[in-house]
Amino acid sequence: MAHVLIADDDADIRDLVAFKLAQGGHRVTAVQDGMAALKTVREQPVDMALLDIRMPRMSGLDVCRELRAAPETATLPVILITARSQEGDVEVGFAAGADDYIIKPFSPRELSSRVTALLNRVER
Amino acid sequence: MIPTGIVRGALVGLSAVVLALTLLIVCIRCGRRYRQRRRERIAAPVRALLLRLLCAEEDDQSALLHRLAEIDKRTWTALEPTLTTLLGKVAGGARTALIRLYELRGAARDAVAALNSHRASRRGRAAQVLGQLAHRPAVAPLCRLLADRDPEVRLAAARALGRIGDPAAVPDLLESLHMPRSVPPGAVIRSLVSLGPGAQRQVAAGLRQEPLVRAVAIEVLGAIGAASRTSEIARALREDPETEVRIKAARALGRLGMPDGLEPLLAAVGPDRPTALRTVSVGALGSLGAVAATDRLVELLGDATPRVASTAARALLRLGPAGQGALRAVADDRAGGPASAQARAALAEVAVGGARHGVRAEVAL
Amino acid sequence: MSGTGAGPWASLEGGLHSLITMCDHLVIAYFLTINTCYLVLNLLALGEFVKRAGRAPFAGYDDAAASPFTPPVSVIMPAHNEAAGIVEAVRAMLLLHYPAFEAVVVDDGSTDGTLDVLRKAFDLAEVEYVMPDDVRVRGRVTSVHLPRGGPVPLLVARKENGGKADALNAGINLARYPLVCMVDADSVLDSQALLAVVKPFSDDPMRVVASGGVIGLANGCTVVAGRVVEPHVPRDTLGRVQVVEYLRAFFLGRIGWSKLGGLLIISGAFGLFRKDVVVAAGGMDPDCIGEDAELVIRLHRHLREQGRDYRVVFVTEPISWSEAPTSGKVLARQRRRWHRGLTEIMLKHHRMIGNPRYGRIGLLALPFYVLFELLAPVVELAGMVLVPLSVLIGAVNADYLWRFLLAAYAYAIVVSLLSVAVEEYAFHRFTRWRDVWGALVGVVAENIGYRQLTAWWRLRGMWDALRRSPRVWGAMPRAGFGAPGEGEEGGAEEYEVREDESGRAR
Repeated sequence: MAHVLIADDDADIRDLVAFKLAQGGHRVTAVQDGMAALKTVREQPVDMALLDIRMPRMSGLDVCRELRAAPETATLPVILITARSQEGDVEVGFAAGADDYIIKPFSPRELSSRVTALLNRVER
Repeated sequence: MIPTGIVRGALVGLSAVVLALTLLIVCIRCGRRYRQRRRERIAAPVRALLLRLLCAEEDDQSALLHRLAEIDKRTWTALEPTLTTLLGKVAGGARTALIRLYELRGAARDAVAALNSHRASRRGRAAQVLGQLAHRPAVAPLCRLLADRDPEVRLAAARALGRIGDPAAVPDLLESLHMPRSVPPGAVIRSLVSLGPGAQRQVAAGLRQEPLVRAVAIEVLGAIGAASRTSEIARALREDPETEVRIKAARALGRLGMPDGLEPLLAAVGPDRPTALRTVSVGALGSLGAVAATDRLVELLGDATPRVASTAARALLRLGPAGQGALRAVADDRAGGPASAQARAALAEVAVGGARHGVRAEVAL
Repeated sequence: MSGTGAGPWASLEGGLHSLITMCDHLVIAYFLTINTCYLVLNLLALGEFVKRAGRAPFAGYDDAAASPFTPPVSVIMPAHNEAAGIVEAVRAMLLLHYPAFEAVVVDDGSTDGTLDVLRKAFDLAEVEYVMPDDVRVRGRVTSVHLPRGGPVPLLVARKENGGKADALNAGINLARYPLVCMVDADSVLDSQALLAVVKPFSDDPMRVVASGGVIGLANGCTVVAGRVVEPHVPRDTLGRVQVVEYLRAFFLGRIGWSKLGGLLIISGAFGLFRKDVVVAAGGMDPDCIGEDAELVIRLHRHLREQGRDYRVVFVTEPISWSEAPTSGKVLARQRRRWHRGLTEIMLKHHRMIGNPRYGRIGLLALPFYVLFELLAPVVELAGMVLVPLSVLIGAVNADYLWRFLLAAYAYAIVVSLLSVAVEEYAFHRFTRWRDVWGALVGVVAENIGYRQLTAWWRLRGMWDALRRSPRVWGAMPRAGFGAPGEGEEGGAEEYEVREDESGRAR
């Protein structure tokens, strides 16, 4: 069981991801913007962050860079959620320090297995 | 100083307006919060059901589906925005489940009916939903919507047709470019490209129509990799009277990467051609990757138009070792003037680490 | 009252009286018209928002973000002595959410090591470069730098000092993409800013030549990682007044103009242009103070003269934030410079004013600007002198005074309140009740003191332009944006005075 943070401005996606991960036995904190995501990571022990790239004001990329810049969160596993296949996004995202990608539209099952896979990879 | 008559009336009136506006601001705020809470309250019980449906294994879906299909009209209305958002954002089993839910509910039929609504926002939303459902029976009414009186609805219809993916829509999409109520080319191109290679034949029919249609058709054929149309596009580059169409043709030939593209592109870089066409053609020679173009590109390094010269340098880089070798030879020639400066600049960029990666030199609007 | 008594003295006095009375009535008519114009512009904007309601679901932003046909953009950022904030600004710019763009930073002869901090932060290497010559540049570009390794789409150029417009021209030459976006080094951009501002181009690429976006005031807002995360109305009165002013005149007013097809100003703090059109028009004019407004007017002129079918649009999404002056002194300089710029532009393009050849621009937008922007401070101050004078000499009665106050001030308050209500309806950016209260205070305070002061500063700007006095760039003490956690207090302390043309957050 891990503590997963999901940040998405879209309440529907946020709830869906939270529901699926909770089903998989994870503890989930869902927030609606990048600012709240940073705050959560600073205040609580989080094992992984799922960030939507397309959020108003502060995007997932911004949050990712902020996380990498601080020593205590520099190694936190981060998965970015991006719209369709976007080579540009993928490139910039890896440059900003993301570990993996999920492309919208995604199936909840695929999301769950990607999260588990990354968590396992980090544990080892 | 007590005001009289009309002035007093105006003063009272204005104070009332000020008060009313202040109250209005407060009311707008409160009203928004109330409506949002109300919607959430109504949708809350079924939302949980919906999330379970989306995350369920295939075998467990049907019972949940039927329960959701039977909710009352009010709850469905409250839930609908959620359904529409999710439809565009989930894939796999979850998407199948959503589409079945719309079917059971008869919602696709309702959306087709809503395409005739007198409210533009309803027509647009219906088009969006039908596109996301990939509802084929909606193709004909959506094609009619391409001539809607509201420009944003026309855009939504074009997008939806692209998503549905039925090549039958191609003639209408192409025609919509030059109707009195037109659809902008950017939207038509996106839509046609998402129809994929299956629509190639219908798109190619546009090569014989008006300039804008020709330009769009060429752009789309290039983007979907319709290599078998190379000769027709090459002819457009040689013979079309419109510069804009020839520019698109040059770019498409570069993208398609077929050897037949080489000759017309080499002809299009001639000094008597318009600068925009030359620049794009030079870039396309790079995309084409034809080593046979090396000598011509080296000549162009010294071109009088700096934009053409710098594009030639970058095109040479894309030709691989042969092109880079040629660049180095020019760069080492210290007496080479502007040409060797261009070559050195391109090489310096590579040495730094290919920093300005993937610059699409041949892009133009 | 006139005509009583005998002799030449009395008739002179009578004539003076009737002259003053006539002026007084003209002043009232003027204020009624100006406020009605703003009312109409605000209502046009409201109409646009009502039309938009319910359309967000099919606006198609996600499609634009994912499409390979979304045109690539070169973002040009001129910088002059910006060492303190440039790294953060460039980082935030490189993380904009957009499929394909490059950042071009032009260091305009900085003396504070702007280039050095960039070099260190992005591991820049100097490369040989052949400058294209699309538009004429005065200050020579001395070096061009690219980041080593990694796929970072950044180019930094260093040039001899030549002013902001000249730096932008150098940036236009260095830009490789068909769209150029001009941003100020101190602009705080939303991550979705480019997507929003490019959308009109990708929807209608044949006709759209320029688009601008809403500039919000960063004062009082919480800024984290180079993004405004929580908009607020500042707590000081000067800030509040400016928030309301921006809302009414620069935001809703411009949306109204865009609806009318007469948009004249796209802010230099964030504007997007078709590069080929800017090049054809000759780039930015380095001799003009308000080079951003001047460019748009010149584009109109150029394209109308060619008889092209084109559009200049204003995007309604709030996308960029700039810091407004927090002290009266700096505000005075800013307004004086703006008005000087406006005067110079109107003088330069006076042939277009009222000329039917330029369509709505010539017949509607430019005459409006001359009458209600350029001359507004003159009438404002004339009213302030004439009205008390008339009361004193008994040329008008108390009734007139009331009418004046109603037409000039009460009406203006109503219009400003309407703007706040429209914002609340369409965007509700401000989440706290305190912000709404702050805006209401701003509405009232704007009409008492602020208007009169700015009128004086603007009049002096106009005088500067007419006298052609040498230019002094306004220095703007810029408040730093606080670190996370103390963001709320950002804007409280001033850390540096920079000598440049900043603070042009129009």
